[in-house]
Amino acid sequence: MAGLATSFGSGAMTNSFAELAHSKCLFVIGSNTTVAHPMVGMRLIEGRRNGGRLIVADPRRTALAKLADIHLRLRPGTDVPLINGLMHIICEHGWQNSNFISTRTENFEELHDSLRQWTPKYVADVTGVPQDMLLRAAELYARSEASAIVYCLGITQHRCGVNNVRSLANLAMLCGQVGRAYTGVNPLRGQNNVQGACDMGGLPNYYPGYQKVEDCAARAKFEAAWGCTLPARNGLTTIEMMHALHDGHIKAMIIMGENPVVSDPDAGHAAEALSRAEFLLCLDIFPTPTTELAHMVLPGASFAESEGTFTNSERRVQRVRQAIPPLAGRTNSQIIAALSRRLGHVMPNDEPCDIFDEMCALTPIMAGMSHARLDTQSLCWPCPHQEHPGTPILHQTGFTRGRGLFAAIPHVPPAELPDEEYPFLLSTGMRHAHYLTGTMTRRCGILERELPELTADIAPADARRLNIREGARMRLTSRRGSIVSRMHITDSVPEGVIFAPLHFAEAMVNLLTCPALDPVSKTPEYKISAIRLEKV
Amino acid sequence: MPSSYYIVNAARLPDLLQAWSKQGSLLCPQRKTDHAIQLATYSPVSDICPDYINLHMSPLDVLNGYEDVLFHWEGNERSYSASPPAAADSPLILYGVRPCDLAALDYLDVFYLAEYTDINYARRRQNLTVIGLNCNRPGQFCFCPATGTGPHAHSGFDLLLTPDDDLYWLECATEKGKTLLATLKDLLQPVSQDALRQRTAILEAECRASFDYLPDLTDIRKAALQGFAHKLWEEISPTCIGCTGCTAVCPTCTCFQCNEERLNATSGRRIRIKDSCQTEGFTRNAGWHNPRSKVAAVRYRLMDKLVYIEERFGKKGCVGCGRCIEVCPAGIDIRTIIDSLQQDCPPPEQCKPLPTCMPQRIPTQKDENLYTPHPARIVDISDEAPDIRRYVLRYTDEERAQRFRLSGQFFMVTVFGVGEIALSIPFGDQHGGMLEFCAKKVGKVTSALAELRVGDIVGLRGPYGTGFPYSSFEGRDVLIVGSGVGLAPVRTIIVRLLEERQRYGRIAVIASATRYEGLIYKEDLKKWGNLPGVSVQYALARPTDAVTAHVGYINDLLPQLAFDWPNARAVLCASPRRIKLVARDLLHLGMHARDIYTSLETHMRCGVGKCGHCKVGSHYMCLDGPVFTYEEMLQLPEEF
Amino acid sequence: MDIRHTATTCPYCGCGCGLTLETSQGRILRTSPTPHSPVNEGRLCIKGWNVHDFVQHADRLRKPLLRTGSQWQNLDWDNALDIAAARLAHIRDTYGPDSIGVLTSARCTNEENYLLQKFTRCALRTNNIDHCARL
Repeated sequence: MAGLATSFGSGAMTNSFAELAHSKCLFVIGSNTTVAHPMVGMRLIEGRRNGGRLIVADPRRTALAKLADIHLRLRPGTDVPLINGLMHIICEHGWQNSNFISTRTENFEELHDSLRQWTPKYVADVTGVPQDMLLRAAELYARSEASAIVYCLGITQHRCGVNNVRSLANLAMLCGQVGRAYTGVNPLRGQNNVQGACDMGGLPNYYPGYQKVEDCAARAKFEAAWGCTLPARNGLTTIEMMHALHDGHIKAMIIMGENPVVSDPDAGHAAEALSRAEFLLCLDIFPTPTTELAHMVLPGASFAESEGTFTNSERRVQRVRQAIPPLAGRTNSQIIAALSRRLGHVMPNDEPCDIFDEMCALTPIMAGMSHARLDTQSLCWPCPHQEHPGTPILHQTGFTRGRGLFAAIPHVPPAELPDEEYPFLLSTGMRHAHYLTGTMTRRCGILERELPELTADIAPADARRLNIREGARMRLTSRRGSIVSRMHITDSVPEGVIFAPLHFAEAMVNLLTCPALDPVSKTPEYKISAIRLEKV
Repeated sequence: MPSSYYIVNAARLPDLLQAWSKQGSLLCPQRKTDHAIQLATYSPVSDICPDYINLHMSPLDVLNGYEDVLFHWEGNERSYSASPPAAADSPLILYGVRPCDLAALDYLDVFYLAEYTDINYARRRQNLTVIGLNCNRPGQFCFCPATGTGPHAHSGFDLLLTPDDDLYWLECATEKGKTLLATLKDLLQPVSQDALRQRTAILEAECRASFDYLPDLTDIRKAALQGFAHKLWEEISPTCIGCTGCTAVCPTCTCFQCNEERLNATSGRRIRIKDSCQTEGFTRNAGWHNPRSKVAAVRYRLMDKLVYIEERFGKKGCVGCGRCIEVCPAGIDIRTIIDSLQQDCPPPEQCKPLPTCMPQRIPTQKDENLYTPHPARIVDISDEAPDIRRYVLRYTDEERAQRFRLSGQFFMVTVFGVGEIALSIPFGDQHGGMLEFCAKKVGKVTSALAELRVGDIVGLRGPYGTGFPYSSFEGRDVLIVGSGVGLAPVRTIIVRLLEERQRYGRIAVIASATRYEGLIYKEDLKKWGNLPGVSVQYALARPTDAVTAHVGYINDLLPQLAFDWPNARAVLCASPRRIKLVARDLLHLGMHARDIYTSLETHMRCGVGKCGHCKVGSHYMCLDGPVFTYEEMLQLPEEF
Repeated sequence: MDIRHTATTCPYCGCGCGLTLETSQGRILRTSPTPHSPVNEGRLCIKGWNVHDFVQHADRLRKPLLRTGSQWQNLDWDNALDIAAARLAHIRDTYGPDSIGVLTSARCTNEENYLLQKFTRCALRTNNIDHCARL
């Protein structure tokens, strides 16, 4: 999010899913879309059926890559060189959109100067993608009438994640492929309401609607509305909180519906930090490795027991409706309001539609929304007033920050690469039947049967060399931990790369992953760490 | 009962529904707040939707049940009792069932009520009254005229309505229908059959003319089977994201998975939920082997709908409702697939011969306890090989233990609260009430079984499946080949043959495994080898000191047997690959493919031909097999 | 048989597919895609089709739990909230508001997120609130 916000002024998806089916060129990078975001994958397949051309940049030969017109099978962690290389080619051939650059952007010279070194030959050497493919991809993206970029965690979960994103923003601005229908830079969110959690001010530095905590005027507004004085300093991020717990600066944690013990990079550290809390309060619907460490666990209500809204990747606010009463008797809103009252802050509203109205009144980008309106149609923010139809396409006349900001993006290689001791590169991600840490999907009969245990992908040549047969179990060990996994032999992974999904609490892949973080977004480098394989 | 015919003023439909809602639980299509049309329970304020095209989900799912309880159990390791669910279903009236779904219902009746009658379905079906509704315009994906199942229905309903501007033509076809109309005479105006037929024929023709895309299903069986290796399967399967939507919405999809639910420490139940052949887990076995590739799975669904169901049941497997097209994220369209298959069907002279081995349906059997296991006590456990144990069981019900007569080929064995697996019968007729099984610890249930001790209780259903035709072995030399756990079904044969030793010629047994320690029935094999006219040989991959064994392939041992090959019988229990290799040599030696028997025990789950997991082509391994001749096996699609 | 439908939004990935939960007597029978959702237009992925299965799983937590040594003790709601509030107030007042951290959830609704950040800022009086969006 931090990357796009710097370039455009907003970190959200610039266009809508439905538009992807009509783009002339779809550039998908770092997203196994048909698996992780199947309904967006559906749009991509539909787009291809409609005659759109599909470029997939992924080290793995995913199902989507198999359908692509061009599959750029780059080496893991070489996204920035790839994008810089494409931009180099575009500038060489004069395919850039000079009008867009001059009227809508700034700082182009810095980017342009930086591209000089990224010659096709050099880029081919660094990324492993043949020069002719780079040329074809560059031409297709730059010269198509409407090209859209789609990316996901394969771009952001690197220690250079923000750089990767800014590179993609550079590319889109360079070609003027943003701010129009069927174009844009489109990050796919990993979780149903990541967008909403951010929009609602579930961030240490923002109030709802990205109003800055450190902005006195904003703070004054919320103080007036909420009837109390508010702390003026930014708070700590998740990772910083874990460190503060470890160091004893934080004594108590409240965790609502998250499972950091499994999802945190360097999972062992998170567990250690949380076990130092004087008081750990969890609100969840299932026991998880995180609730195991808690002092108190409150039973939460699932989505099916809740009224409210979720905001999806395309900033579309949609209704969530209660199908059955809360199994544990209370909605999450009732729980939070009751706790607040006991801590001396009485909240006037604990009914979801009233809470939503209160929020909208304080949040200009959603001022025109209400449950009643959303009951008839979903709306994409910004939606500033009640007659406003919502905004599926951002940055149409100007970027949120004014002019789009180009920047020279240097290549930062991964923090840990394979060596003699740990000769394989481990990449993590999702399988089609499971979701994140599996607390939900592993309790669905059909889904659990589909993939009941950790299964890691290995290339046929590596399997032959190590004498591994299909379905055999192997030990995966990194500098940080060790787990056992079944092996699946597939040419979807390149030689030297192991792919493993993160869904299994009994075999946590995050015990292996590298704790390197992006310096700006603090996103961990889940996509690259070094491991070795041993027989069990 | 002679049918009766009426017209009804369309404005009076609410009155009809209101009246019917008093006679049972009435489900009808209703427009919901999100504009979707759903089948929901009638209430006077419901927004009844008379003019919908078709429901997104099949209305017949109410007959399949959603979380359908198969049985309850109570007890602990030492004493379990299991009972079928109580019959508490009340009358149910389905209003607005379209002709495509009526055709699907026709198939469901044949599928569920015949062979092993599905008790749960039968119960609900008995309580169901169906009010059909003919179509006067097609939906975007409909193609029922091509499958011959619409746009008007001609059977399968209790009542049938045909909309015609401001009136409905109403046909009553059954006693159940008559009951629904009994109190409504004021609203009905009787008409002649001719008047109704004439008018509805015109309406049907008009509707039929308004379909703009109909695939050609003439002789689709030939085109589909010829196109078994068509390149389109390779092309469409990577686009399939395995969502299982197509099977979720299909009105003729019946496959189910069983889930064990523990209610508390001493009770639980087994429920079934709809399953999908489009998942990997559907056919992948506990040892992680999956006989169906992604391509094969995508192809299987379509072949089943277009060919297999009709081969076996004589009913349309695809009723042209178009739901699978509408729901597919990848745009996989059965209509265009039919077109491609037809287009590329080779001319008659270039056609491969079509399979001739058709499944024979078994006679209908009705058992209230179809899905309820009978408790049996473990009376002995012994280790046969590493990870393989032999269990001796006896029904706790003494009468059942005494009365039990052997038939079939396998039992379904339940570990209460854990699950159920199919185990071959490795004992003969003279078992004295003691039933022996061998199980290798591989998956969840076999692992739980390995934890049990003497005195513990398991559940048994069965025996099921067809056994070997012993009478056809009489007077002939018999070769029996078993590898690994494949020796379990083999043991039955040997025991049976030895019970009446004098009836058969020479008997040769070849036991095969990677190493001697991996064999089961080691002591039995030694004992049998000492009997006159019986030879027992070993084909092992690793040498052993325990017995005299051939280190190498089974095939190496065949020529020296010097059987009367053209008249001999052979039984091969091994992996399909090994079966083929051995059978090929036997054919060379002079045997006939029809005299070579195999046991294809492929992921059988329910044992009674209902859950769909073991279906290969139009054959259910559990009903039609697991014993097949090699000749039949070669005609099955290679998905076992 | 009393079948009702509730149109809602999928709780898994960031697509936000519309799905319809079919219920009878307080139990969800099955899930189907909402036909008119602008996101999924009547389609779903395998996770969506099975979403009701976890909601009613036997493992669901149903009572507030308090750790007492190595055991868990069942509490009623009022008792649990009293204890939680007292512990939090003690820590806030002893070590200062910034000694408490809150992780909100990318799984929960906007309303719940809004309420929790408001609670954090107004009742706990800290900005130590974040979620796991990066992960």
